[in-house]
Amino acid sequence: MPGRWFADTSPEALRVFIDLHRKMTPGQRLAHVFEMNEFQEGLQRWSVCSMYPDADEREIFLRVAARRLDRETMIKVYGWDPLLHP
Amino acid sequence: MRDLSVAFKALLGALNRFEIPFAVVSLVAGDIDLVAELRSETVEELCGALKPDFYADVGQARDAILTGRAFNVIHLTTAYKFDIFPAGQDRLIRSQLARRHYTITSIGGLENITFPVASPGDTVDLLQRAVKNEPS
Repeated sequence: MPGRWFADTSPEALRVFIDLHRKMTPGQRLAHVFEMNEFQEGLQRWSVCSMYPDADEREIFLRVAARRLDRETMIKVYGWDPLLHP
Repeated sequence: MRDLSVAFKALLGALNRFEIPFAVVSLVAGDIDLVAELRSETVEELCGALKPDFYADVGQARDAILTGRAFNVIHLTTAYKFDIFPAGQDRLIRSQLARRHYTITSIGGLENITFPVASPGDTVDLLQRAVKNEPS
């Protein structure tokens, strides 16, 4: 179902990851996903703000979104082409 | 985190409103996946109800039901993407829905709601299947 997010993970690390998941309750697992999202969002915002110090809130939002969504989706949903805004 | 909570809550609300059986399957950081018993008749109503807060393409959702693949809905103000896997004839997804149970979470903004999740065993099975790249 999910993409091959584990492609760069060693079999041993993957075993550990699966064991950790086995021990989590569903509520804990979801909370972990939310925490990681918040962490990633913060990092991406910081990175965009560093690279584009003059960007306004809208541009920051779009550039952060473009790191999460593919180009086709960005154009379809937000009418914003990442390739036109290098 | 509160932004994601708002998006998550809105999606759960729409699924509940149309009495669509579903379960949350959160496998890896960054993704919130759901499995759902979707039918062509209900998917149009669901996508309609999700607008204007979400981008939800009815055509993509119908194709997903026909092909057994996921489609996604995107919360517009946060750009969070949720993948929804129609149950169709997928043995594992049907099992997840049949064995789902309700849970609560301490996540900010979601403290007072219960929602269905896949059983821990099913989630690990799914994770292992993904790693082995096995079909259903």
